[in-house]
Amino acid sequence: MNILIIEDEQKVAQALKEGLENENYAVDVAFTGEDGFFLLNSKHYDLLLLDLMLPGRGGIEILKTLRKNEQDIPVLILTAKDSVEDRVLGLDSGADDYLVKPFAFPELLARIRVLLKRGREKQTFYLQCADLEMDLVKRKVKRGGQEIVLTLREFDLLEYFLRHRDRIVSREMLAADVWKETNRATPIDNLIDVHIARLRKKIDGPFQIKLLHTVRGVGFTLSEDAP
Amino acid sequence: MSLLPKNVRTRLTLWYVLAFTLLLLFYAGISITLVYINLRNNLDDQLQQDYEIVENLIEILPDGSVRIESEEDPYFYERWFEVRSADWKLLYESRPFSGKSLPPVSQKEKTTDGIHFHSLKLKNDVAVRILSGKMNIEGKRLFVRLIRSEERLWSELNGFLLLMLIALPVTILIAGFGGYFLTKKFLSPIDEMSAKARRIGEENLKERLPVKNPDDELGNLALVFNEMLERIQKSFLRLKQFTSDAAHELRTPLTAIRSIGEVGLHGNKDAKQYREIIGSILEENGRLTHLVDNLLFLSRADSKAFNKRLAPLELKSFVEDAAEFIRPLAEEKNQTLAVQSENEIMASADRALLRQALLNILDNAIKYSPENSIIIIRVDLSESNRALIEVKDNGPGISEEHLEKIFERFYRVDKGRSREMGGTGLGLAIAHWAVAAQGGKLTVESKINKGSSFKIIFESYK
Repeated sequence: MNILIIEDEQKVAQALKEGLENENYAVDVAFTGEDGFFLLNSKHYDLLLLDLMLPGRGGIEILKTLRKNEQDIPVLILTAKDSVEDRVLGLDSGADDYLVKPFAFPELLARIRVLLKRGREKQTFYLQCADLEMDLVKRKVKRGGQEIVLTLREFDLLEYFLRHRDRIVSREMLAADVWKETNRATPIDNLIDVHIARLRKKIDGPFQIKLLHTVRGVGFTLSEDAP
Repeated sequence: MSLLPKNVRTRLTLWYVLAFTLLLLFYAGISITLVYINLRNNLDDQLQQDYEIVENLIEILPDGSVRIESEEDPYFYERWFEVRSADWKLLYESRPFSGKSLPPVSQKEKTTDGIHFHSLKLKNDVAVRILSGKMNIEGKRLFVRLIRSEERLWSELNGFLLLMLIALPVTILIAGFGGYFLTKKFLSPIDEMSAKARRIGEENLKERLPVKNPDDELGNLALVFNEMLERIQKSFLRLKQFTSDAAHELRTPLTAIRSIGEVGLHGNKDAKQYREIIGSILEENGRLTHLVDNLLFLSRADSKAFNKRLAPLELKSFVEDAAEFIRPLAEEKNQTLAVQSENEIMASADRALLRQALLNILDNAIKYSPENSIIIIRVDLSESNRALIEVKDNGPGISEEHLEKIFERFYRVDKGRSREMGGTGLGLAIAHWAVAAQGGKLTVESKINKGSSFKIIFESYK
């Protein structure tokens, strides 16, 4: 999978490149809109990460030109502007998704996966991690054959972790996807921590191998191996 | 209009002088007329006296001619008169000065009975006053005319006019100068005010305009300006405070990141330790992000770039929903979160904003209330029949000095403790704004050790 990053802030671009390469993507970086445009026309990419505030040719302009040329490569916008108008402008210009800086890297990965998978999402009725099983039809959770009773919120939370198994999930992702809380000024971090603690008590409490881990400063991960 | 001078003082003086001049001219006109009438009446009185004297001295001779007794009396040398018969024939005349005849008897003189006065100008340009009268002497009707020169009358009148012509400009000049200095005196507070206002800037916002007399219009103007300065100064101070507070708040996580990084680079550590260090830095970064998110939210609120959408909202389910959302936090402290709502109340509100406000208030209440306490959320109608959501806790309460500042940005009652709990010091400020943005009001009542009560009051839906 080839990803092109157009981002003028070199440190950010370098960090993104390294992070994505760790996830086995092939990554190219362009620091200006012109360079990026040249690369886009000379090589095939599966995804474009586009900064909006670029010197010279701005991100929106690049996006509009792309879409005018009927190039339907998925585009994920990265920007520090987060007013509703800015979002609408970005999406109207042909972006597929929008991420506000500063963003959590796990969230970026999740969005990238969604964009690359788009259109061929498989319907799943059964999720699993080690001996933890979730039946989405009966809405039942078992660990080691033993049924665990979860509240609605805990069930949604666990489902989200299972769908992102072995990957790091940030608080921002949980707030947006599980709690559907889009306003970043809502005090929700403590709330998430409480729910995580309760879920952990239920699924890990009595068991030898712990599955739900905290990655300090980043978020949480559900995995057989400790991070 | 461009001919008018620009400054008010000169303009006022000019108008004043103009009005004063017109008034003086009117006054002078009236005085001159009065003096003239007075002088003429005097003249007429003298003529009448002469007439009576003459009447007594006329003697009719048997041949029908007229003789004046004691003709030698010097009095008569100075009197100019003529006596005519009833058919206007001249019987006698005395012409002491001019030696000229009087003009012929006019129709009016002929027809008027008794005494008649009139003025006329002789051929040699001498203005005279004429008395004509008919009298009966010894059964004979006679017509007598007496003449006096108006020369003295006119010279006196001219003298008076001259006096006026000299006095008038002098008076106007004095009045003009007086007016100019008076307006200058009365308008001088304006000059002082504008000079002062010009000097007031960012550095000396504390200063105020001089108020000479608070009861007059200018004093009142200065007072009003001073009140405005007061408001500007306050908001300026608030902004300054906010900026320095924000910088300070940003400094705390920045310092942490720096120290953790510097200490982390020191010496050799194993991978696990490095993970800890990086994790710790990321945590501080998370705090910074959170702070910036809140600041952006508020700055957008300030610039009014917020699209609020007021819609009918059923409060009971709304409040229960919010309580359900945040309840786990209360449960952690064994607190009870109770919703009291008797009537179904519909409000007109922006759901997202109101939720933001309520969650921040609840978060605050849970944070500061002791374990095992009860927090009550009451939905009701206010006394003024508006929608009311009250959050009442059994916390430590807030003292008066803090109470008035509690909705200010970054204001914390207990600074150290709040930061420890992960607060940014912006929660209540955000709540306050979020309520105000939809036309509502957020108030707080509290007493030390008696708990606090936050009230959101806003429009009910009709």
